[in-house]
This record gives sequence, C-alpha cells and structure tokens, in this order.
Amino acid sequence: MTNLNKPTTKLELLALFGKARDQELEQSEAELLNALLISDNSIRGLYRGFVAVQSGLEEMAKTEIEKINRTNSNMAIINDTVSDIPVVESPDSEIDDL
Amino acid sequence: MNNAPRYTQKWFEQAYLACRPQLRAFIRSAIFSAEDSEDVMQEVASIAWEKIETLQSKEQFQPWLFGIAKNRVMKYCTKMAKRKTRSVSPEALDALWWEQAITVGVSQESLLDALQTCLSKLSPEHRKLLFDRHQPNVTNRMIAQREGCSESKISRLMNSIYAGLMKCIHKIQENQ
Repeated sequence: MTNLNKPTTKLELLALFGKARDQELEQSEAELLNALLISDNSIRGLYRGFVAVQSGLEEMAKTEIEKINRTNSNMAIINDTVSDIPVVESPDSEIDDL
Repeated sequence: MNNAPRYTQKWFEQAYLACRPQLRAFIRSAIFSAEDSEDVMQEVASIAWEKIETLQSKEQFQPWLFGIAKNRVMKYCTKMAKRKTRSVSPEALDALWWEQAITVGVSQESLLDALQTCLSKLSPEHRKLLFDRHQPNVTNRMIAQREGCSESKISRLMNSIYAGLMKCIHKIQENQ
C-alpha cells in the first residue's frame, strides 16, 4: 500500500480518476487507485460512474465524427456524380429569358 | 441440411452498436489509454464476428460479447502489470468485472439517453467545454491555454461538471 493520503472528498477522487484517464498517474497514485478499487465498493461505484460519463462523452464525439465522415463521403459521391454529368450549354434565348 | 449462417453481418453490426456504449465504459474503466482502449474495442469486435457461430442465441449476445471483452482486457492488464506500466491491476479489474456483470442486460440506451438529458441541463458554455474536451487527443492543458486560465482551474471546473452529471444520471437511472 502506498503512503499517499487517501482522497476523502468526491472531488479529490474525481481528480485522481481524471489523472488515470489522462495517463498522468504517478506509480504511487496508480497503486493507491488500485487499492481503493479493490477494497472499497462505494469508490468502485463512483469510478464506474466517472468512466461511464467519460466514455459516454467519447462515444458521442465518435458518433459525431462518424456522422461528419459519412456526410463528407456522401458529398464526395455527389460531387463525383455532378462532375460526371456533361455540361449542356443553355441556348442563348433561354439565358435571355431569365 | 441448412448451412446458412445463423447470424447475418447486418444483425451483428446492429447488436454490436447497441452494446457499444456499455462495452466502451467497461473497457475504458480498465484501460487508461484512449488509443489502447479503442484498439481493444476493435479486437473484441473482430473476434466476436469471427466466432459468431459459437453464440448460442441472439439473447445471449451481450454477456457473450462482454466475456470476450473481459478476456482481452485481462490479457492487456496482465501485460501492462508485467511491464510495470501504470494501469488497473488484474485484481481491480476482477472487482470491476463482477459489478459490470450485474449490469449486463440493463437497457443499452439508458446511459446515453440519461447523459443527453443531463447535458441539456448544463449551460451552453459548460456543454461546449465538455464536448471540446472529449474530442480525440484534447487535454485539459489545451483547453486551459485556449481559455487563458490555469490547467488546475479547468480540472476543478471539469470535475465539478462531472460530479453534477453523475448525480443527474444516477437520479434518472434510479427513477427508471
């Protein structure tokens, strides 16, 4: 077990979880986190809630990116199709009518 | 004799997509690196598709998929522990797994729906901050630089937003 102080408030725990997510944990903090996850089911519940929010936000960002990529590839298909359509010169009279 | 596959690719994709939020949450709880967890997600999806004919019935898909995920994640955590890389230990993963197993079968949409509802209650500034923060490879430091404030201020702000979101989601799920 580590000599670090055990986080006592929810915000202190979230700060520790955030460091884990950002891969910024010191070795002693990683040991502390593991010890807490093994021994304390309320902290485990909080950790799972934190990860659920994080991964939910990541999932939304991913879905958004996939949507943008799909739109871009559909636009590319439309552009290719449009460029394949032969340009028909309008008769001068039609232009004059406009 | 009928040799037609029991599960079509289309069915698999739909079933997998429905499980993806909860699967991501489980894998992310054990693998700190976003890139590595994305790789493991891809591996799980491809193993699941390769072995799809071993799935007993469509109703069993979710626990079956999570079983594959647990094996892959355990392999990853064991490898990281041997390399002394900071990650969730196999023992902590086991503890997380048992609770995960309890929630397998819970409505897949519930988490994202609840999250959407709770996000809509945030101020537009906080919502934008969160979405920007969760774009791939964006860090608190980058956001702090953009906003012209300290990284610790952004961390504190983010943590209080997360705490509010978690409370809100918990409340919604309790009422369901």
